Amino acid sequence: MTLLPIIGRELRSQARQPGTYAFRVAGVVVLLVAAEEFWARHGLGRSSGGDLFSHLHVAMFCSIWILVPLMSADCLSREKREGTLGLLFLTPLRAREIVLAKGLVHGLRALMLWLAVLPVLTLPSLVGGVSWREAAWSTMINFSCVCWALAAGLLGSALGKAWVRSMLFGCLASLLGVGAFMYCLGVVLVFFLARFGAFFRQSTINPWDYERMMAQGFFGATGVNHSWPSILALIRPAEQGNLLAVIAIMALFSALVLWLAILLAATLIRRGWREASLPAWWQQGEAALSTPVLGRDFLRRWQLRALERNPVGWLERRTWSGRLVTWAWLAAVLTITLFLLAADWPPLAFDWCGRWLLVLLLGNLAASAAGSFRRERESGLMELLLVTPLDEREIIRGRLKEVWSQFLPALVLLSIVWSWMAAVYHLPGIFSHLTSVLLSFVTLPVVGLYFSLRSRHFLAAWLLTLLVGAAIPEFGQMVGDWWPGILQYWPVTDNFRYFGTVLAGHLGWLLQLLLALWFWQRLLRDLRTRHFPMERGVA
Amino acid sequence: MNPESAPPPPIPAVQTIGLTRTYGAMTALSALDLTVNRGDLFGFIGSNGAGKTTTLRILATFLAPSAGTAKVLGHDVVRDANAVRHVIGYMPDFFGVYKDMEVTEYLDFFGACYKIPTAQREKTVNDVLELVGLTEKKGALIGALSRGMQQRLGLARVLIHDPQVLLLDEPASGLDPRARIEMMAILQELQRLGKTIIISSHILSELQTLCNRVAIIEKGRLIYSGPVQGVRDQMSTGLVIWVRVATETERAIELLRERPEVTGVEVVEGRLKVTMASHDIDHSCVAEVIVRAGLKLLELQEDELGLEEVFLRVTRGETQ
Repeated sequence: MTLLPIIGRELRSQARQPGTYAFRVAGVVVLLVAAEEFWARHGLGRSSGGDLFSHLHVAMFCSIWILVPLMSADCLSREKREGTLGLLFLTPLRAREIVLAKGLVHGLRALMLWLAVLPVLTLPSLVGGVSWREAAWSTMINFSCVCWALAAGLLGSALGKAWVRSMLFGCLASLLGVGAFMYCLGVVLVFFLARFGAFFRQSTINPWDYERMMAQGFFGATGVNHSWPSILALIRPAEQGNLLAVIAIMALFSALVLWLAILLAATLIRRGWREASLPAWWQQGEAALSTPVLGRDFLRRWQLRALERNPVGWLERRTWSGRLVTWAWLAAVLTITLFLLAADWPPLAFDWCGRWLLVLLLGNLAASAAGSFRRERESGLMELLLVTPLDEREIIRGRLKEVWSQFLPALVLLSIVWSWMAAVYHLPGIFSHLTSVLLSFVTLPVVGLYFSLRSRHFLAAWLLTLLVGAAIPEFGQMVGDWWPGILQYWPVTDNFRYFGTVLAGHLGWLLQLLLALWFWQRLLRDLRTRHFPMERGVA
Repeated sequence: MNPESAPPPPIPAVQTIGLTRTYGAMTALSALDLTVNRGDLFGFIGSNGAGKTTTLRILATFLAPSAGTAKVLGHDVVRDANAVRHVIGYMPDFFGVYKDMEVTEYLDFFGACYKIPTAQREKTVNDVLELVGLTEKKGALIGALSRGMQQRLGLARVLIHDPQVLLLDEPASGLDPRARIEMMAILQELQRLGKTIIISSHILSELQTLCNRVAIIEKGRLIYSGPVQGVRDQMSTGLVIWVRVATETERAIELLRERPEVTGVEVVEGRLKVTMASHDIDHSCVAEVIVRAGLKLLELQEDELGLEEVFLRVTRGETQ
């Protein structure tokens, strides 16, 4: 196999990118924030290391499933876009070797990230309460997750050509992957416990009992609610090693899944690298689904009006796929709300779902903003836009309005339903949470646009947007929450104490606003001074 | 003559004074003084990295100069950038297209950016498409157009707001000969319509026939600016005439060397290279000498110093 040329090229290329190192730092920061959050909520007592370890493992688990597919989803599609994939195929390299080399490189990146966060992961051991079995379990689960997530990213990249599609395919594959992984793990654990469990041996198990398998897989994969010590406690000490062996087999199975994904991705790119046009049935289907049937004149007039009022925003909204985001979110919010109401779930479950939906919506909003100027910057269109009579403020405002309008309907609907539920069931903290959400809705796109202009890589732009737009204000709020306690020991006047407490209580919001204003200024300045990376030579 | 009654000198289409642009320690443009008159088809020549693109980007208001001033139709590119943007059309050395857009959508979008009213936009789009010969491709996706067509679409975009000054950076690069000829024909048509065109190109033979004035830039400094013929005269060492006679070549050499207008005669690949003292001399005297001596004249051709030769002599292939 000829892998070294591609691996060498990829590693050299990544070594030159500052984002590679920033990514590791971001990983450490995420885990440190998670640790700090745990400390703020639960404190650090004796033997609380287990809980902290579980907390950090969940952060790692989520990060792997989100970041690894995003990190790898553009590795093949970028080669397709830039026409270099065809050049690779003209050499004796085979498709399998190309995909395998890419997979190895991204696996190596994930390993480096894991090594970077390892010191943070050792903190719980220092606190105490973490057994070596839990550490081994976590490591093997993380390895498995990396394999599955990498498989998702490679498949997404092999399917798409435009980076947005690759990312979308990668995320969808990742979503399917996490479900499949949990199901498989659930099946393995349930069968193992039925065979070796000390307390509940079962002779008949239905592997298609989806809910049970998923629940078992979820607890086995994340370790939440002391699930790992609980599972281990169900097994006789002499057979606990067997459980770890089973988890190790699961890790090997995950590696096999990755290998199969590599073969599939290789087949896909071998068939698709020649720039063949889309099959006729696809084109017909797309035309049938995307061509307006009713109100064509109205739609045309509406588009013309949108173009007249906001040309920069119109760019995002002119295609059906661009408008799909709005409708997809609206449909998702409506469906989930109706389902929760119909299923008569407890109010707290609704509260929990509402919060997570808002978090996902804001994450998508940040992603949309962080990728917003990318195409203009890469294709050189930014240069053309900047020499039209549209001034820099108009360009920024136009794009901001478009990003906001994409998510506003879903946000409004969700906020109304959630507020209504909170009023009916007396859920606490709704006003404060809604204010935070609205503030994030306003400020995140500003920060996202700045990073979409300055950062060459979407993932780096998105992570930085989340870090600056959400994590830092959140951290500021935590610091603000300590402030009243600190003030107790200071000889200050009552007025100072009162205003200090009020200010500290809203430090997160204040920080969020100030950061957004600052980034607005920087965005404007950088556009005016053309201080952003251009893919074209300057002189 | 009363100086107050004299009409003011016409405002040049483009004027730069001491235009300088630095990138860190590197100087891309160094005190460039350039004047382009209205209606000129102005060729901007220089090797890669000489500063042509930087100059055009400054004139297009995309970049700000580090020092000096640049004016387009009297508007300063820094202080009055918005006015400049209305009177210029800038075509960079790359396509800059949304490949998933239709041709008319693309032009419609830029029309909206230039704030052309909706009612007027449709007609304008049709007009510019007709001018560049893309009417049949109105509904086509840009990604499906050939390179030449995308380049023409770029030109249509430049013309959408009817600018008076066109700044074209390598408009014919990468085009096949036919597409190049078509592009040059469109540019001539635009000049006929009264546009001032500044065109940077590496295809010097075409600039030679197309442009009435040229500027040569090297290492960010202006080396020459003026009529095309002027640069030839300045660079050539004298008028060269190529002569071929049927027989008695040696006699022909002797006869020609006796003439005071002739400064040198040498044989190159069977032909005589006759160098005259200056460009102003009527070279019919060469034919007269040979024919009067009873020699059979087979060929007599004036050697034109091409722009490429001039460019090579001036720049010596140096780049920054």
